[in-house]
This record gives sequence, C-alpha cells and structure tokens, in this order.
Amino acid sequence: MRVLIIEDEPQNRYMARFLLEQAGHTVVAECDNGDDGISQALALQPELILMDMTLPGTDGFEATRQLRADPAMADTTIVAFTALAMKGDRERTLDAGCNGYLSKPINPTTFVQELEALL
Amino acid sequence: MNNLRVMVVDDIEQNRYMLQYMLQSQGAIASTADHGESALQQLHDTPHDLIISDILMPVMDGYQLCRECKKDPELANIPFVFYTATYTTDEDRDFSLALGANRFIIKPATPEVLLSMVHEVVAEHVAGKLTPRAPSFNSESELLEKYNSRLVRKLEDKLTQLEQANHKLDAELVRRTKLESQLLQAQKMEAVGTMLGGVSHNFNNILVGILGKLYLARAKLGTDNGFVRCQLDDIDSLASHAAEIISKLMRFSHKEPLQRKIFNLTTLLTKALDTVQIGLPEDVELKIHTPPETLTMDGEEAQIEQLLFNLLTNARDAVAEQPIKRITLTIQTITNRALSTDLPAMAAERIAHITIKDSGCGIHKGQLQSIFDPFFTTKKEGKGTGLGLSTSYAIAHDHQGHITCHSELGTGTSFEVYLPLYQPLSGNKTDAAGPSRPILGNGETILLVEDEEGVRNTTESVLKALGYQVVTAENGWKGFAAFQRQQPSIALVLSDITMPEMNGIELLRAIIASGSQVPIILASGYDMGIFDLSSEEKSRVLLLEKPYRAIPLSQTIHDLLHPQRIN
Repeated sequence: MRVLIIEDEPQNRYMARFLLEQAGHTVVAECDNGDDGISQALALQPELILMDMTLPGTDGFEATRQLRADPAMADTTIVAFTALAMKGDRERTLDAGCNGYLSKPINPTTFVQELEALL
Repeated sequence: MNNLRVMVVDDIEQNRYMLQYMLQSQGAIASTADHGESALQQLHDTPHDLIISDILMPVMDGYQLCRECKKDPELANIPFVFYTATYTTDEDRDFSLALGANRFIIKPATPEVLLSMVHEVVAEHVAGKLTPRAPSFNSESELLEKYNSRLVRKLEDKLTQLEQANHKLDAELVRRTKLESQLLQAQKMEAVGTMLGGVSHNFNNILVGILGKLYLARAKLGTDNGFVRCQLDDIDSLASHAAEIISKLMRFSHKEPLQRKIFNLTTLLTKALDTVQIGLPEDVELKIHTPPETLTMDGEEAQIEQLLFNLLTNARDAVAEQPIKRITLTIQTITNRALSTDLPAMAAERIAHITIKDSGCGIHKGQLQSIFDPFFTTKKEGKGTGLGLSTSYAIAHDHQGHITCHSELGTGTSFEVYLPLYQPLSGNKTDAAGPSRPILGNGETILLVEDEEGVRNTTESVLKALGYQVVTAENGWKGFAAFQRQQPSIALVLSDITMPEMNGIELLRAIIASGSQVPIILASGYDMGIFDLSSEEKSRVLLLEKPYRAIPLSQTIHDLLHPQRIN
C-alpha cells in the first residue's frame, strides 16, 4: 500500500518508514508538520496516512478534520499515531475522523501488522 | 551482513530494540546491553564483530567502555561506533575518535545511514583497513582530564534538558487545570443558557400577544375613559418590564442577535458614569483613570453600556453601608499578548482592560464561583434580581471578551472586564430617536406567516390597524403557496423563523429562488448566527426581534416599502 507519514519526531518517522518498506509497502512521503502533511496528502493521494496527533502548528486533529472535509480524502485510511494516553484521547482521534489508533512507542514486530489490520 | 555479531549498548530500551531489530532484519545477530559493564561481560563471553554504543549511560558510560575495549588486547580489534543523541559537540566527536573509536554518528540517523555505516565499517575491517587505533593521549592524566570535562559537560546538558522538560510539564499541568475549570464554567453557563432560552422563547410569544392586544385595545378606547386608560398604561409598563427581564434572559442565553456597530467606548464610559453618579451619595469617592486616547469598539453599544452600568451599580450598592466609600474605575489598553494567561486568549490585538474596584465588604470565597450564575445574588431580598452579573457575563462573552472577579472579605471587590478594541477612529454615531407615532400604510398587502395562532391573529389585527391588508399562513409551505398564488399583489412578507414543515429561512430561500424582489422580514427571538445565511440572503432580509411592538414595526415596514426614504 501507499503510505504517507506525518510525524515530527525523526526517529519515529525513520523507523516507521523502515518497517513499512521492509514489509513491501511504499512510503510516498514523510512530513514533519501538519500543513505539509495536508498538501502532500492531497497531492499524492496515499491509501493510508499515519498521522501524529501532537504536531507543532496545525496538529493531527486539525489536519485530519481538514483532510476529511475534502471529498477526495473520504475513503483514505487515517491512523492516529500518538503517545496520548489520557482518558478520551482515543475518542477524540476518532471524532476528528481517524479510522484507528496506534500508540507510541513503535513496536517493530507488530507495527506493520496493526496498520494492515486497519485498512 | 549475514551472521555479523553486533553488540548494541544503550540505556534506553526502545533505542536498543529498534537498532537490534534493524540489524537483525539485515541478517545480523545483535546482542544488547544497557550499560558498559554489562557489554564488557558479554564481549568477553562471546566474540563480536562490531560494537555500537551510546555515550551517556549509568554504571559505565560509552567513553569508559571504549577505553576498556581499546586497552584489552582481546577486544581492541573490534570496530567501535558511537551512536549518540542530542547535545553532542565537536569536542565529543574528537574525544571519541581520540579514544580509538572508528565512527561517530549522531542520533537520530535514518536506517539507510546506519546500515550503510555498518556495511562500510565491516568491509573496512575485513579488508584490514581498520588498524586498531591506540588512544592518542600523551598521558593518562590528560585523558582523565578531558574525559571528566566531557562528561561533566554532558551531564550538565542533560540536567538542563531535564529541567526544561520539567518546567514544560509543570506549565502544561497548570494550563490543563485552568482549561478544565474554564471549560466547566462554560458548560455550566451553556446549560443554564439553553434552559433559559427555551423558557424565554415561550414567554416572548405570549408577550407578543399581550402587547399587540394592548395596542388594539388602546386604539379603540379613544381619549375619554381615563380609568381604563390608566389600567392599560399600567399593563403596558408591567408587560414592558416583563419584556425587559426576558430580553436580559435571552441575552444570557445568547438567543438575541447583537446589533453591532462601531462606537466610542470612552464616551460610553462617561455616559454610564454620569448615570450612576446621579444616584451616588455625596460621601462616595469616585476615582477615574482613563487613557487620553479615544477607544472605539465594534459591538452593541447599548449592551456594553448595560454591562458598565451593572458593574457600577453593584459597586455603588457595595459601598453604601461602608465607612470608607471608594469606587475606582480604571481603563487601560493592553495588547492581547499582555493578557493574563489565566484567561482564554483573545483574537483582537488591542484590548480595553476595565477595572471597577470598590471598597465594599467583599464577597465570600464560597460565593465567588456562583456570582455570574443567573438569579444568584448577595444583595438583600428584593434588592437584586440576580440577573445583573449574569447578563454582564453574557455581554462580555458575546463580544468575545472576558469578565472576572476578585474579592477579599473586608477589603472589597474588583471586576475586570476585557473587551476587544476596534482600530482607533474619531467621532461617534448617535442613534436617531424612534418615532412616537405609528406610520400608517396605504392598503398594501402583507403576507404574514406564523405558526402560533395567538401571535398570528394579534399581529394580523395590528397590521390591519396599521392600514395594511393581510394574507396569513400557518407555516412556510402554506406561506409560499399563498405567495405564489397572489404574488404581484404581495408587497411584503413578514414571517416567523421557527415553524414546522417549512421554516422562515427556507421560505426566504424559496422566495429568493422564485426571482421575486419582495422585501422580507423575519422575526425571531433566536440569534441569527445559528442560521447559515449567505450574504445574498442576508442582504434580502430584515431581522426583527421578538417581541415586536406596533410602532417600530410600522416604521420598519414603511421603510422597506419606501426604500428611497432610507439613508
């Protein structure tokens, strides 16, 4: 599948790409902020977006809402990728329009499987 | 990289795990250790081909591990790579290489960089290009000195980093607590507002009926019957009072649209002060500090005047029975950046900060959190309605501002109001006084659409008394059907908004879509902001507040039917 990674922490970004590519998926782009993420998503039309929720500036919640407002993005799988662990965080990501929720830190052995399961 | 045996040394498990995973995915065998000593132990037990180590770790750090390896003939030939995080300087790199390390890589590196580095080092090693490098120090004491200074520096950096993180956490905690209490307050006000909105909406419709019938009764009465006229006047003033209370409640529940315009705040303050000063006993000391520049804001002047008047009246009542009677009014302009972090941020760049401080008896701490609640009062029974502060709160919020209260028992209370300022303009507009007599129509036909029978009948009678012909309908659909049937003869549409089947907004859209240019009045007690109107729709409609009264209504209808007279 074609994946867009939006995450400001480089180590997580590298690892996610590494794991995805190893499993045979294509990472179409990596972005470290929400605004770039939105424009890349609209331009590249990935099948899955891995979205960090706590980004500087336009955060993941806002970016997801903006993407969902675009009809072209209605069927794209958006997965919240976050260390948020407060009660209600999961609901908030789903309310914003995410299809699922993947918590940090990355577990290399299950990461790709969990993502594939959300497709 | 098949069967290459790599030792990964890092005190953070996640880093170890990721590196291990990455290496193993390339066919290498990776063992891990969380500090130098544990690594040394394993290196002695099993032969390894490569060591990748962090620097700062407990028990034995990376520098020491490297030093121990290079000293040990058994381990000295194993390529040694430092892979280390932030706060790394050139001195760290130089020192590492001087210790005999082969590479120095800064975290986070992409998997490509890391893996190609591993390939490179291993290839060089196999080709015999990596001669074991002896530590290049003149003496043990020089090494120790450098080692200590590097380590102290690293620990200091780490400490700073931790302190910064701690500060951030503390600040975040404070921010969250504040946000939570703000949210709670907002939710409470919202819930009360919704309830009051419903109640006032119903009462409002009843008042429309009462005021309309009153107008009709008086119009019929003539001048002779003094007693009945007197009674009717009383009913009028009672109903007006009721309308006033309802209007305050609706203000609180945000169901009344703001009549915005740009006005002079300084003049308004003076006006409010003058009004309060008239009723002020002579022994009250009133101090005023205002900025020299003219302050203007965009909002509803009457509402802001109400807000200031409420607060000043409260201050007056608070000092009435005190030995020291002092009221201080201070106005400052601040930028939105200077706004206290205790308050939600404001969008306007310049903000009027108005402080009204009294030397009254103060408010008990337990009561402080309820003072903006509707019907809450600390005044003696019969003295306060309990609506003044809740109205003020709603007014401030409707203008995207804030109001807060600080009070200390025995010292006094101060209210702080923050209102967004408009860019400074000179001069101010004044409202023309409304007419005191109805302006009569000339037999034009008005389509009246209203679902509540009482309101519909009364309004119909009023419109007829004003000299118009009236066609009525009880919902939007029937209204539109009647409109199409009698289109050329209908001069104006007066419609309620909230109706079953087809509401007033839908009716408005249907009429616009039909291409008709007929003027439309929509009447509602609700804030128009809750309806999504396009600019064209807004330009075609005139909004009328309920309960409407005959004389202003007659003026509005007249103005719409004779547009050349408006200017």
